[in-house]
Amino acid sequence: MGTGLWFVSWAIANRMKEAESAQSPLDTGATCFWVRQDHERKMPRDSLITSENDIDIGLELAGDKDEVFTVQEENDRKRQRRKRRDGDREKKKRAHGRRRGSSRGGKREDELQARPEKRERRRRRRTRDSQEAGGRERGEEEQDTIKSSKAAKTKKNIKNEKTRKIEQEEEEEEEERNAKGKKKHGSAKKEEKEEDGGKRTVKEKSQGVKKKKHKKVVETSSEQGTSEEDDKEEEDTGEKEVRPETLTPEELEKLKEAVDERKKLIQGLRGKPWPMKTKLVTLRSFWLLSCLLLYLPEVDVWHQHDLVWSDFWTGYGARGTNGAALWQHAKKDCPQGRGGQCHGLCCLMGLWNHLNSDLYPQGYAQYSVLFYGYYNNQRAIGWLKFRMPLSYFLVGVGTVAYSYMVVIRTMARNANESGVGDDNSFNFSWKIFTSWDYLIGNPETADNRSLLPSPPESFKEAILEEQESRKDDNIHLTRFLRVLANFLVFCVLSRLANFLVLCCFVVRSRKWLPHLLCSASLSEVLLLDGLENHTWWERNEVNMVMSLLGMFCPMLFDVISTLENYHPRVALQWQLGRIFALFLGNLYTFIIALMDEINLKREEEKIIKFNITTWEASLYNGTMVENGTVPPITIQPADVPRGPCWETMVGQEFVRLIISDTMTTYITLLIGDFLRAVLVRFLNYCWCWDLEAGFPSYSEFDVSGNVLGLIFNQGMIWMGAFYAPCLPALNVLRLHVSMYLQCWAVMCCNVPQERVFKASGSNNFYMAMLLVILFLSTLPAIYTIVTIPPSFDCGPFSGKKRMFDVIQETLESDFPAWFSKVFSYASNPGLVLPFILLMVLAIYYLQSTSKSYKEANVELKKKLQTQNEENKKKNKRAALKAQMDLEEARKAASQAAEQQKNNDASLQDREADGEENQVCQRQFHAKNGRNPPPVRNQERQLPATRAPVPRTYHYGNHGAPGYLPGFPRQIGMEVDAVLDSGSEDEARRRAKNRRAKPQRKAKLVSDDEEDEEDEDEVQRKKGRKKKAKPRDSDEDDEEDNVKSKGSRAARRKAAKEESDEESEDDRQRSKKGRKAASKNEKEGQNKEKEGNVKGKNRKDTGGGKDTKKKNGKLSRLRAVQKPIMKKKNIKDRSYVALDWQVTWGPTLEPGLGLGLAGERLVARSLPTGPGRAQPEMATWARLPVGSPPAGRSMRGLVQCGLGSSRGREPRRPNPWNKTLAIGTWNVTSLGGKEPELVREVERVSGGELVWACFIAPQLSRHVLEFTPVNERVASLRLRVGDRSLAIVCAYGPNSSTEYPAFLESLGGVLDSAPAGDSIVLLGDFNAHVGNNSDTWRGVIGRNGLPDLNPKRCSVIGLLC
Amino acid sequence: MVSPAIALAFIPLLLTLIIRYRYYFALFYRAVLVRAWKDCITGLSREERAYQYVLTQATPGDPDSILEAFDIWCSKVEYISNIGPKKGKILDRLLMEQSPMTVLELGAHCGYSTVRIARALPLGARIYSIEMDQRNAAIAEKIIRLAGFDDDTVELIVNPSDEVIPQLRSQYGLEKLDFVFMDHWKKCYAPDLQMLEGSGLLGKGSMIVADNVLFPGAPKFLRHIRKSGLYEWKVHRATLEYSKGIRDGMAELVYQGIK
Repeated sequence: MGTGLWFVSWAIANRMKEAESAQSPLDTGATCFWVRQDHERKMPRDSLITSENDIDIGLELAGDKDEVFTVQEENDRKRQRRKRRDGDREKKKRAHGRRRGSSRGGKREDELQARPEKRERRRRRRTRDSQEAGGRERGEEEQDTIKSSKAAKTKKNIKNEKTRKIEQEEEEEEEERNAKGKKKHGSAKKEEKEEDGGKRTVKEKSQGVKKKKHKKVVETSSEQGTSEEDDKEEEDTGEKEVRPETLTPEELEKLKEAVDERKKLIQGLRGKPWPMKTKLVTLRSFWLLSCLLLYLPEVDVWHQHDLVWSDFWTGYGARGTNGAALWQHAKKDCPQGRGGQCHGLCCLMGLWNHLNSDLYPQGYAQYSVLFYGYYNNQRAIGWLKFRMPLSYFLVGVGTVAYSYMVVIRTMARNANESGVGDDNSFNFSWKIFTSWDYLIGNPETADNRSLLPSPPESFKEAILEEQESRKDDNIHLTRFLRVLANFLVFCVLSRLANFLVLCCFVVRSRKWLPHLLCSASLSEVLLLDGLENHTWWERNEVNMVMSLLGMFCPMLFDVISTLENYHPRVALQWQLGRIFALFLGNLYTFIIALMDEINLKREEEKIIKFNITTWEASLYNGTMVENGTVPPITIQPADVPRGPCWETMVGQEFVRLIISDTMTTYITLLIGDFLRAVLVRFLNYCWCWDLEAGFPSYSEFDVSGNVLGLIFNQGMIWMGAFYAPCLPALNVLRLHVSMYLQCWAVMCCNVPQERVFKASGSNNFYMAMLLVILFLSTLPAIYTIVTIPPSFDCGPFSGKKRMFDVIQETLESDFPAWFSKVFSYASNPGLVLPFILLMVLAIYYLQSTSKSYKEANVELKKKLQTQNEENKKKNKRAALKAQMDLEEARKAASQAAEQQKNNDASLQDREADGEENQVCQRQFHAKNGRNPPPVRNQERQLPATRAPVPRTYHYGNHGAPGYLPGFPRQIGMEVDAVLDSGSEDEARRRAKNRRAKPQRKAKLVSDDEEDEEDEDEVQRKKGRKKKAKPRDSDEDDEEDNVKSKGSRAARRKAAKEESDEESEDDRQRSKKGRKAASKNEKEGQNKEKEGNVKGKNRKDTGGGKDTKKKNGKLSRLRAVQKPIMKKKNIKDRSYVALDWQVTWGPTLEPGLGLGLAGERLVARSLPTGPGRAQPEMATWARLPVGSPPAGRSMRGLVQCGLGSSRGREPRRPNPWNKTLAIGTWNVTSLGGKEPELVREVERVSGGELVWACFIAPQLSRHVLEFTPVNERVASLRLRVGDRSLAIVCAYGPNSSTEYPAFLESLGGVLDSAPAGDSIVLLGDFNAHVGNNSDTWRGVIGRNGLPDLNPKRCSVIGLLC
Repeated sequence: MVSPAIALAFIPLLLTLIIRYRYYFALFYRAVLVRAWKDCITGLSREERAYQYVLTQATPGDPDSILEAFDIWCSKVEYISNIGPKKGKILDRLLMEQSPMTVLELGAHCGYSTVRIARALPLGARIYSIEMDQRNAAIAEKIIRLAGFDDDTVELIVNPSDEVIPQLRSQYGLEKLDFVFMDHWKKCYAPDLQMLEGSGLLGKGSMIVADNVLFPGAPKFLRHIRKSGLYEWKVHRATLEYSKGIRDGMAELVYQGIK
């Protein structure tokens, strides 16, 4: 039989060589495949049974020899262990291995010549080795026997005496086999040699082919290198005991001949036009031959080993490694009589195994703590009696349970917060108000940030782009593209397009094809094939491909989503969904493949188990026969066949996955980010286009993708943690490292995403994803735990039917009997079912309670709403009454109007302004009629040194608790974009003004070349002079605003006068007397003064004034007719009120006032520096207003007027700073003053109007144009200082159907604004953003509505 | 030895690159391949072909129709890097706002931008257009005449810009440039700008508009304006002319003088 085997193997080897020389590697592959298919499952049985058959041969060896061999075995084993440890070093050498291999052949020959001396030396060394190693060895052996460790490397225990006995028996049996084998092979060899002396003759016998059912795999170069390396070393040390007994010179000659032949072949190998594979095989065969020559000088041994080696060559060598199976096979085949040599071989093979897969946990760490297989089923460990299997099980299951708990708890907490914490809704406001990230502390980041286009710019551009895209693409194209994109994605996602195609190219030989046809996944194929049968590269190819796909596919999806032309948010959602699907698909393919593999392993396990039993039995028999004759030889634990531990395999797979994932991440960082950044950065100086802005640019930091990656990583951990208990630790390590690495990468080579969309909505988005992944990943883990019986010989649950039996066992043995009894009762379905029922009921109860709570909440909300409605109605009624009252007053008003029309136009304007102011004032009173503000006249007299008061303080009437339910529209935020010097004094002044507001709120206070004191003075004067009447009226209002009677006209008049005068006062306060001069006079003065004024602007506008004079109607108060809007339904209109200082906020009820102020107001960059990151100063920039005197800086800081100005340091106010306050308010909140307003406007514009814009007279000079786009959007351009300011006022409709149109028109306006303009966008967008004033500290007051409506999305959509 | 599977895993990357940069590929095709092919076939230069088309399609004396014809030709037939309609609108607006009396145009190419600028100028304004290439200048001349602008409005100078700029004051009697439009070699942007600064032709408020500062890109120019502090500047972001996927920008500089 041995002859046959040998012969066949030789024949096959030759055939392979032939095939190679015919340059048809595929043929070889096919053969391999065939052989392999047959072999795959039968192999272990074959080998074992063979050994069984061999037993009946008598033994021949002398005892002393055996002893020597045993010692040698031990040596070898030790060496082997050491080698494994040195695996890494060996691996490095691999690269050189192949090249060296060729030269080595020659060396071997020389060595052969010098053999006798060497042998001598070796013998000496051996004895020394045995002496020095003896003690240790023996100790180890003892240990081995005690622990009955099975593998050379592991501490695998076999628990009882019986096994130990069996091992001894096995040794004896092996001896027998050796003897027999030797005989057989020897004769076979001789026979063969007689038949044909030349070794290269081909003996192709079909019988041979059939018999030679040994493993064959394709080999790669690296493997070869390693093996050579190992073998070389092994040889040097391991062959000492070989004795030159019967190797005849002619045989030696023949061998040498063969070697020479090969050598020649190899020398010319490089130049040969063969494929790499062929070359490698040739090289390998040569090397093996030379090895043989060296290693086995004697014929007998030669014959025996020739068998093994040829096995190696044809199967092993040609294919790479197969761990346990081949190992065992070799051991079984290997005649133990020549134990030393054989063990040398075995060790060698083991070493080879390990080195093949050293880096990866497959080999080296296979039996380490990292994996399931390390742990044994010893029930209690140490004096503490630590219940190892139990705790293993409990920890595994507990981890999963705990993860569930944590995730769900976090989700619940987030859900509670999501009412306010929904970032999604604030995006618009984020953009507008907090485009500066206050967290940014270091200048680098600040610079980075400032590279981004400023918000108005980006708004405009985004709008432009969107319009463009809408314009250009027809709907059919878009649809087509979307379908195409989805198809593409589907292709990528689906196994067929992805893996199958890949596989067709991937396969090295055709042996995968049948697999491919039935199963689609590459990983599956590889797993089915048995991972150990492949080289490192092959084995990890799947993981690499998976990682690479995971890396590139998101990019592809990203690009595809741009094809689809969705709204960015939708696109991002799609993208996330696709990535999710991709990852999930990958993961599950992997799992399914793993399951298949598990099943395979279990079948294999069955066979091995059977074999082991028979084998043990035979061993037992053998011992009975040979008892006593043979000195006890401790068998190597590694010789005991071991089942394929599928649990360890699963763990290994996951570790491998994690490792390759990590590597991919690092490589991506290094190449995709770092190298790219370096390239862009340093090549940019000598490149013809802008690399940073253009083609490669820097990579963006993809937040959502990274989060997804983390989530999936976590999923893998959950899945693999049970079978690789140290996986979480490994992962923690990995995450730490990659965190720092990524942090570095982000800081040095990434740019922030151009458009940041929080696709998540809230934290719960990702948490939900995590939960899904948790579920999906624990599902297979738990499935395997519960359904698949553990392997019989490895892991803490070995020997049990199911893993959870460990609990049962513990209950039975570790607890008192009554406890297990109780437990068994408790686990009785009769008890469990009612309990579950109870739980279900409880859940149901809780759910229904929470439901009812929710309903109650909704009810409350509704109530609140109806109350608001009622209030509105009340206001309406009041308005109607007021209208009737005003009918009377109208005559007087028109009279006054006529009078004024004859007068100068500017006066008209002022009047109008006065009127407007009046309206404001009244509106204020009417609006909160229930709660009229107190007269705080005395407060005006407050000393200037009074500490600044927090803003909300002034609005006590609003902020009061009683305010909430009755107030009609308390939406949004109070924004006070007062532009001033930013000094404390300034703030104080503002505060004072505000406080004074109830009396003369909309008065045009500060036209302000004046200091605070001046202003105070003026105010005092004004108060002294004019206050009597207005205050009366205020008091009237306070009492009953509905009842304001005909006195109103008079009051209005008075107010007009007042405002006129005030403005005049403001202008010429010191020069002129405070008397009310006649209007003409005033005009004259005005003109005169304007003539004198130094500023160029004033001149300009003065010139403009003349023209305005001509068409008096359109002068200051620009009222443009718009036929579409007839006046009646004025309710929903909004007006832009511009004033020198209209202090507004809740007092004017701006609804959601959105002002865009700050840095972007001026197209000038902020001064950089450390101050930048400070919120108060950072966002708001300087806006020059008015005409400064020459040589003076005339900029003031635009401040966010909200909140307290406490933190600000007092500064001297710059007298040249102008305050420009812009505000809007809702006509709805005019509270009964609408008709009045309408009438007034009509009066000014000549009867038909609809569009009005109130501006302070002083500002009217600066007006460039007023464009009412439609009833909801209007824009006003002002020339302020040396730049122009576009104020866009918008009023969002309440109904969502109108909303898109509104947004479009708004977009159009923003778009059409000239590029140089600073844009102030303000108005009511009807987008509720909530009242979370913590979030909005300094931006929004506390009066926002808490709820959020969907329109915010549209607004954001427009602006993003 | 890289395995084909790994290589194939890069297919998504490849696809990504192709899709992401499809506009660049299209541009390459239109601006390079088609041009070379047509050059071979017709024996005319690209500009000449454009001129022929414009001549047959446009109404003489009507700048708008000439521009339109150009736009159609450039977007449908072949590609010439004119300023294009979209960025042209920005240019128009800037011109309207600025109302410059003296305009310097660097790089007339085939006269598209010259016509565009001349169209938007106020009465009595004059535009000096510099073109280096003789053949292009001839075509530009024809186009300008075709659009109905005479020598009083447009003065075409056929010389490299770096030679002309120092002579502007002496030879052409210019005192101050109100508006400068740059659309010639992107590498010349920075030196020419420095030359203009040195020549003293720029006064406070002079506006300089430079096309294609992002793609093909003039990084040195941008760096210069960023560092010099002489300008108030901004970049109008737009897309490359006749191509909607390639980002480009037009720099608008307002000379502030030395403070």
